[in-house]
Amino acid sequence: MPTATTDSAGGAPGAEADIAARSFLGEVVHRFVRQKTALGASGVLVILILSAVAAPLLTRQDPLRGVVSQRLQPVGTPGHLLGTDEQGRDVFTRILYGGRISLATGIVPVCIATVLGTATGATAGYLGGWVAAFLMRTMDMFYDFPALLLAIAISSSLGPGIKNAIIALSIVFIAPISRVALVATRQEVVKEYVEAARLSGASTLQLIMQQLLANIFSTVFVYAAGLIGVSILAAAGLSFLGLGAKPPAPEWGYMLNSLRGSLYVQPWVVAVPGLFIFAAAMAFNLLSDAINEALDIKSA
Amino acid sequence: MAITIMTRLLMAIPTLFGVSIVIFALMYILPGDPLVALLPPDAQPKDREALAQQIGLDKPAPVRYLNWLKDLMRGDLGYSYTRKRDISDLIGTAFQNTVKLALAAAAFGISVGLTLGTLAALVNGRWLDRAISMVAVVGLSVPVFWMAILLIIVFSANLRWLPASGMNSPDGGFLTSLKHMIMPVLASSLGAIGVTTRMTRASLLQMYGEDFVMTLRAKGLHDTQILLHVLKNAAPPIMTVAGLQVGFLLGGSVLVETIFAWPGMGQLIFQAISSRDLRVIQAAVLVIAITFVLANLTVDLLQTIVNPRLRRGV
Repeated sequence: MPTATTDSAGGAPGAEADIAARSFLGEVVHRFVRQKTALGASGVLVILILSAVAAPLLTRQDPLRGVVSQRLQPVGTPGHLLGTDEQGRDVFTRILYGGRISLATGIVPVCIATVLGTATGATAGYLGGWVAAFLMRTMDMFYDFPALLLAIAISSSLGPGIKNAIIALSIVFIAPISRVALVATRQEVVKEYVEAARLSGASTLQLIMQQLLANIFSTVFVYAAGLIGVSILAAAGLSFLGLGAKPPAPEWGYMLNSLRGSLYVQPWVVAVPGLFIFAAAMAFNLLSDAINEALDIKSA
Repeated sequence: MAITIMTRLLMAIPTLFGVSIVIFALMYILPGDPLVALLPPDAQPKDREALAQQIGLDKPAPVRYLNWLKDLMRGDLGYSYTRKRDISDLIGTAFQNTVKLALAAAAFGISVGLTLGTLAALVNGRWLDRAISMVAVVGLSVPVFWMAILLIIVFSANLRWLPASGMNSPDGGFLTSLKHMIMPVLASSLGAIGVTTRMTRASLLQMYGEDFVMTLRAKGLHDTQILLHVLKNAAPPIMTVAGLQVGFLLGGSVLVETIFAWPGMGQLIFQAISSRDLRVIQAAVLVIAITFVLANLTVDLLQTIVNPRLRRGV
């Protein structure tokens, strides 16, 4: 039975002594590495990222060129560990190279949106008044769409391509991040240190850049980290629909779609690219949960 | 309460305007010539101008927006030159099919999520709690289009139990149509299961920490009676999140519908993407976004009715 004091995010008995002994960062790192899932997820991510970066070292085959006579080989074929696709290209090679595009299209939009969303939200939160009203009402217009759908609408207007998919996803994520930054900023501006900085002659820009950003960073960071999983799924989804990576580029979502026609011929080869999308999204989600818990910010 | 409800309804109006402005901007203001998709490749400049005039593209943006909005109010979503049909005709049946799928998936996903979330909160900290939390993260991380393909591999290609595509067979009755629904519902509900489970667990745990629970316990109430009290108090945030899922399922159906050839909005959007039929994409997104706003509004109103605390403040 749950008791009133049980709280999964709470520390173990004696944690307070530990806190006193460590710096804030040291404590966060300590609480992070204590979680087994966090370490597992980090491991998976390191492997995925390294194998994407070092793709040419791990395989000698060409991700774009296949051998027609070797089409649709099953998983475990000698020389083709994960089989071959409908054009006889090695799936393992394409997965490695594809990681570059798939991971980038997942991570980059969140980074762009974090910068722009934080800037918008912090400005609106600090200045208030009509500036805030204008900025946030503009953001609200984007807030009322299901994320994937808005991304589809934007990237279909811009035309297919990785760059446009990244732009579309960035726009999608700016609105929610700016809201988080706005709320965090509003909580900060009323605090005394902001007043102190203002009285000692800091300009608005200095105040936002030097004082506020540092203090709202962890809140925004935790929220943005949670979006990377969403972004990876959405980016793969866009490519799956033909709006992201253009053929013959190896991208996990696009690979899944182009292999779909061979579902009844080589079912398990078809399933391979999706497994990697899942692994990447899962690892990022677990990682963001772990960071969340390490920073002890309650998620809702 | 009537005033609160009226205010909520009025507040939805600027939201709907916002949605329409975004869609309009995507259609007409973004770089790229909207006429290119409509004209044959060998069109003369004179044809271009004629078409621009016919569609009203020669007028300034605000005028075009108002004209477009006027058409919209009459239910006129424009004409698909690719499909040679009115877009509202195309969307009509597709929308019904999508709503059917989304509601079924939402009902399934939310009930499973509520059950799992409650269970996890009750055994908080034990292995079952950890297992359920892991299942919830899996639900959030699985690409729906991959899950759909896995389901087809297992239940259609190998076991041959369920049909891989379509909404019904020509001679099929209710049971057959139900069979057609199983895999699309399973695939699309995973995200809803994940979100609802996490939200339910978190809200219940938070409520169990409140003082009134101790009071109830001190009064000698059973665990089940206490759970009922806790559930009632934890309901508002769970309802909000669950309500959002209905909207997300409407939007997220694009991928699932594409794979199962479900004749809904998603498939319509996918076909429109393939043929670069922008107007159909935008119209479909607009209709779903409006439904999304209305679904959230409904949840808001339900909340106001169910939760007396929300009736006073707006």
